[in-house]
Amino acid sequence: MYRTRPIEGKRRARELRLQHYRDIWNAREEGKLLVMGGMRVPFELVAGFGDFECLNEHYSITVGTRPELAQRYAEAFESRGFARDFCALSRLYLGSMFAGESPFGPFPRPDFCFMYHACDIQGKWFQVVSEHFGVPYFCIEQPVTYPPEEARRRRNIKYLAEQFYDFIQWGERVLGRKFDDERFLKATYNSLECQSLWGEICCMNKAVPAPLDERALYALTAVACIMRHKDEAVAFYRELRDEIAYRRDEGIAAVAGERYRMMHDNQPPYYFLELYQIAERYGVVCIGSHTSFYLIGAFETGPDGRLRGRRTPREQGVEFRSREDIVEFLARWYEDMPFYQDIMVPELRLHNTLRLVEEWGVNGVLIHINRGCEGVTSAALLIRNALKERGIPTAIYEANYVDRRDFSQSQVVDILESFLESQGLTPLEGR
Amino acid sequence: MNALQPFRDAVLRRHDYAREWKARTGGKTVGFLCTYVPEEILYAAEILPVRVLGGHEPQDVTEPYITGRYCAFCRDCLAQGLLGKYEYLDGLVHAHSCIHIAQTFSWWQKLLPLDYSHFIYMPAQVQSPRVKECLVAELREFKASLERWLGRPISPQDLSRAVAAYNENRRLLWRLYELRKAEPPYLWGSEAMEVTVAATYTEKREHSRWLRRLIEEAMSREDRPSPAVRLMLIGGEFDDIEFLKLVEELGGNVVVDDHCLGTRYFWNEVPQDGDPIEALAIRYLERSPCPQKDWVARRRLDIISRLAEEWRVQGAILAQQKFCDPHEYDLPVIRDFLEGRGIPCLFLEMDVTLPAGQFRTRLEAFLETFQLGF
Repeated sequence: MYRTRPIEGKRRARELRLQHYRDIWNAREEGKLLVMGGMRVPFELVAGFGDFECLNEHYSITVGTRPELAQRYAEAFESRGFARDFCALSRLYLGSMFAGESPFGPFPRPDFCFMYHACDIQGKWFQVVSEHFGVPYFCIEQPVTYPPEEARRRRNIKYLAEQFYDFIQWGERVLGRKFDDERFLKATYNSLECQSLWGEICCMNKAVPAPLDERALYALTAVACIMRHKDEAVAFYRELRDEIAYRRDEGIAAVAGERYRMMHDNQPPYYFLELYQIAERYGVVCIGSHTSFYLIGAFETGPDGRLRGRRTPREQGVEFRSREDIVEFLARWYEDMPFYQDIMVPELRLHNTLRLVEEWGVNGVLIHINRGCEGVTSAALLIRNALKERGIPTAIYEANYVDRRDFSQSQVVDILESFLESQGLTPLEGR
Repeated sequence: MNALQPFRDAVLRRHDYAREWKARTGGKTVGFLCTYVPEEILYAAEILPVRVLGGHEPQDVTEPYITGRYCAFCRDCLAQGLLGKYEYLDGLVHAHSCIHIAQTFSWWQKLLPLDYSHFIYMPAQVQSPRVKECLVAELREFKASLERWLGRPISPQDLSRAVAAYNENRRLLWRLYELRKAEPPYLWGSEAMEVTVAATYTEKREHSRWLRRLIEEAMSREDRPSPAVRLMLIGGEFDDIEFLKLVEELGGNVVVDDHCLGTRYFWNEVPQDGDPIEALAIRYLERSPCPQKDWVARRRLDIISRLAEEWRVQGAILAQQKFCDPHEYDLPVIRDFLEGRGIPCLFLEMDVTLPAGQFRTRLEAFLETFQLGF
């Protein structure tokens, strides 16, 4: 058995998450802009227009941890004639909006909507929000660089940069505010450092024993999803990096009985995170996943050919002298992020997932066919097929990450336990 | 009408048509999975573009590859490939549209022999002024990849000829649709759909020849459709001719549509001045949009409104492929929009096969509301 102890950063992450929701509901009183959009929205650009808060998909996940509330919002959405089989995050978000309520108070009215579009519905989602409130809407599209060729990459970087400039112009016109390059620069440094640090932290989980488990990873990545442009987020990830490095170096495990490294592909049913504890009883650590790593984490290939946290602009020796320098750098950064392009192209998703399986020393994969997310689920069977060819065992269950109506607990637990038993694992004594 | 027969044959024997074309011309056939693929470039290379469509029969061959929560259409298309129905295809092209059909393309490439395949990044943000440059470059690469495969160049003249052939076909299809403005229309909806479905995989000049004859014959036909409730069909992928026949049997007639095998397929022409690749990019960016590409502004509502008005539509059928998220986002908005203008809507969820009994009951009830003057 390895030594273990709770991850201290989780407490601070929780404080920051709660602060985030308090800040959103107080944004107006505090004179901040309130934006509605997605997790990958370039916060760096929004910051150029002043202090702001952004209500994004993380809100749906928060609601999704409370099944009764989630059901009420889903039904509020469906009662308007929308289908119940599509993006569950958008259903809860929009249902809450239509119901005019939230766990934090009445659903607020945004100043504008701003989305970063990749999967089929992202551009549509905030179209509905902007129409509901009658507020302006801007959307940036993530271009697809496939097949990955340099000329196409350069072209798509240019396309992204142009969209960033368009947003600045649009914002100045719509908000009647001048874009502040100093704020833009500061938010860029903060945001990119958070993403780099998260990439670095994820890479620390290649160690045996793993210092982090998947449950902690989701709790910890949330800070970057909601406030990566802020000073407190950077401070949090710097401290967390030190804590996880210490755990790695001292062999402090997330799961004391680690003897099997599993990847849980796709996001978990957030209302049933006990899934990870059940696996833990068998000596299984879930070392991370495509979503918990790549959604926010920035990676690059190091000299040893393995992934590492992407170097920040300062680490790369980049000095920003103008708005154009920042926009250009930011466009390259966004273009190279793995998540989003890979949910549109199954081969990219497969490539990124196989790399994760290989480098993080995964023994087996539990695949969640997530009825609530077409994007992340789309390559599931391609991945399974490829893993099978490589002799990596897999099991599949079907559920929904935030809509418990699509979840059968006994079935899912049966699938998990049968899979683990098929791997020769039995529950550890005394657990 | 005799002039309908070639279209009917092409629909009933679509694979034979392509095989016979290959045997006759010695040319290559390339399948495409979405109407955002610029067929003109294939045609300019003397290739027969063949729209891959489903078979509308239950199948169980795609289960290991695409889970049942993705649209029936994308699974049905892959099934047709796996069942060997498209064995005559030399290549396959896809233009990025939705996550569902992307899987069809991915698995097809992996599981089925192809001499050639190509992915076009078709941007979603078609309303952005920045997007044209991106698409132009993608189309140039598509053309270059074809040239490498074929080992011969596609000249500007080849492209101009192809564009002219496609534009003519689009004009003729609109002329045919014009005949449906009359009361009663000169065509049943099911007849018009035979024409448009066939357009997606038959040789364009040949299709245009058939069309010219049909238009002429339709205008003097003696068996003109009987008066019926004038309907509009709105949806995504829709090639279920049997469904339209059911509508007709129950007293309705689809006189116009907004779906991928209807007006969205031939909506606008390619400008014939300037650089032909740039002109193609403009055409595909400005066409009637798929809902996946209809943001931040909604262009579809204006389009639907115009069609409903000009074709004097009394009611609308909103037919949606189950699990199609972009359409699922649009349809309640379209329903409210149309009903707010006094056009009642019937929402139907489509799968591989038609639940004829259920749909019959629902259609009957819907159509009775018009017949009884509600």
